[in-house]
Amino acid sequence: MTNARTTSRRRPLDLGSLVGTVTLLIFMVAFFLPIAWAVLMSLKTQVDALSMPPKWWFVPTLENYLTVWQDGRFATYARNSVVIAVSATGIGMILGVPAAYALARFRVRGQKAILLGILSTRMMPPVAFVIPFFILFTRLSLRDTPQAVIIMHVSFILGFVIWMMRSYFRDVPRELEEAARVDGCNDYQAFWRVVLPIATPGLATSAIFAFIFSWNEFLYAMVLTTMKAKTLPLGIYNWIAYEEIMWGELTAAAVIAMIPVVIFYFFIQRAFVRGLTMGAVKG
Amino acid sequence: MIESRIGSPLAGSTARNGRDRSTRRRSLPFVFLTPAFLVLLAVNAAPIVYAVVTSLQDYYLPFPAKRAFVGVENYANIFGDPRFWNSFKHTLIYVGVCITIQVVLGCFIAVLLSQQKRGVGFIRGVLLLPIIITPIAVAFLWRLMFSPSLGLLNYLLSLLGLGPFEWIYSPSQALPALILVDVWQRTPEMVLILFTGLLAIPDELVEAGKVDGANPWQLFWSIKLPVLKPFLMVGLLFRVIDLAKVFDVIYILTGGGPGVATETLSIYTYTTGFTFLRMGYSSALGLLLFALIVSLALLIIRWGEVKID
Repeated sequence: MTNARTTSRRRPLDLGSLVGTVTLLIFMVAFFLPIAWAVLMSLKTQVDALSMPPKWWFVPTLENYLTVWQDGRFATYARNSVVIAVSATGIGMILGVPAAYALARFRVRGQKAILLGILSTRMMPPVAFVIPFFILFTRLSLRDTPQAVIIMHVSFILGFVIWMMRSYFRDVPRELEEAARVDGCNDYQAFWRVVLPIATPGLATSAIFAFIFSWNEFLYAMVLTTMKAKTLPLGIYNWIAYEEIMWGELTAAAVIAMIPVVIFYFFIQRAFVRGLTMGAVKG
Repeated sequence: MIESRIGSPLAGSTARNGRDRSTRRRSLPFVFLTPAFLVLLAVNAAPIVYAVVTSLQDYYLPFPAKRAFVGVENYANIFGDPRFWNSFKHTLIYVGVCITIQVVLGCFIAVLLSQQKRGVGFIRGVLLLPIIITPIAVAFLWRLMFSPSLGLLNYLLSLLGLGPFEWIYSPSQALPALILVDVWQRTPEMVLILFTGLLAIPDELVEAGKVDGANPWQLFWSIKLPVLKPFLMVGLLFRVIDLAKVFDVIYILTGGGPGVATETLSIYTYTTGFTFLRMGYSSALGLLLFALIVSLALLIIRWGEVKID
């Protein structure tokens, strides 16, 4: 990973690389500024938040966070989000991991068709995809239940897990399973005792990605829930729609919704590119 | 470390080993695949089939009893629907402009990043943020940035003597403003994918180019780009798919407005289905978008020689 850094030789005054660094820094500021701005906003009192020109220096307050936290609705939305994301991830992993292993290691008829099929469902626009579910769940009176949202989320998590884990299982040296078989393991034992433990980092990465896909998902939750099963993104969306003046509290709510995502992602930073491309590019 | 293809063919030796090992039928693939396969059929394949069936029906949600098969009438109507062409145009502009900026800017930043000696980890961390944070938060951040009274953007531009701009509140500026948001949010994705590719370029190759007197542009064009191509294509593929599907950020920021100034196919499909409650027409619109995405994806896969297996 370090080869790129050693390319240019050190010169007394490398104007080119200085310009490069400065340009890069400007981009970094541009990418970071809106986020930093929102975090600052969430720490401001209403008066400071509304002042123009913007105040960069002020006495921070946690009042907005307290208000948000004490609002009963927020806790409900957060709980729904956690329940849905954990369940959808769990189901996706339980079904997807073994399937990925079978596809990585065994000759399966129609293998290419299965993988392409999964990839093509990724191309289906969510707005079109949600209509059949909407009609079905309405008929079954399952709308506004966590189950409905969980099933919808499984629809994109499962395919992702299969592609991702397949790429990880292929990295596991085949000799390990051969050795396990020599030791008397059958296929299942070799998978359970040898392959799975080695693939733990891949499992963790896939699960975190899946969790965050579900946590961030907006459209399905919007269409399928009305009151009880609302998730955090939807709760925040409604606040935006109806209480636009409460900038401080809104930013606080938005920052809280970002926190788990940011924490989780820093654990899987290294595998990030791999996740973005469903295992196609191994970062 | 790097596999620049989408997956890779089931390694020949692996497959043969798997089969040669024993002649008895092994149950694991069947046992491991069946549950996932059934669920995939139920939650992925069946809805698509159902959407196709619905798209051939006149189905106004409040009157399910009047639901009737109308053949391709919905599709025929779509082609005479100016609002469809309007949203189709917006989708093409949005995808086209975003992807162009993201590829160019992505290459530029990735190359700069690859020449950094220090702080690469930190910069990668900052780059991750826009991609990962909840779309609702992204939309909200940018509402804050675009706000006429509190907007940081207008304030900063006013320091340069520019503006004020109306951003998402003006029909002519709203689409460029949305493009700006996606460029901010997703260019880092391109950067990170390309950066991974740049790490795969052997130092000797670049050094040899320098010795031959190549300028930075020539270095990039004739040495780095060919190595980068598979990465670029994978990035392009996923980026175009996701761009054409974008719903949440546009919906939250403009809802397709002002008027229909930023209505993309995704938004129009949603409006038809869940505001006008015309499920058949909406399904047809959604499937046309699906067809558009699949065609674009196939185009990229062919043209970019992306291997999928």
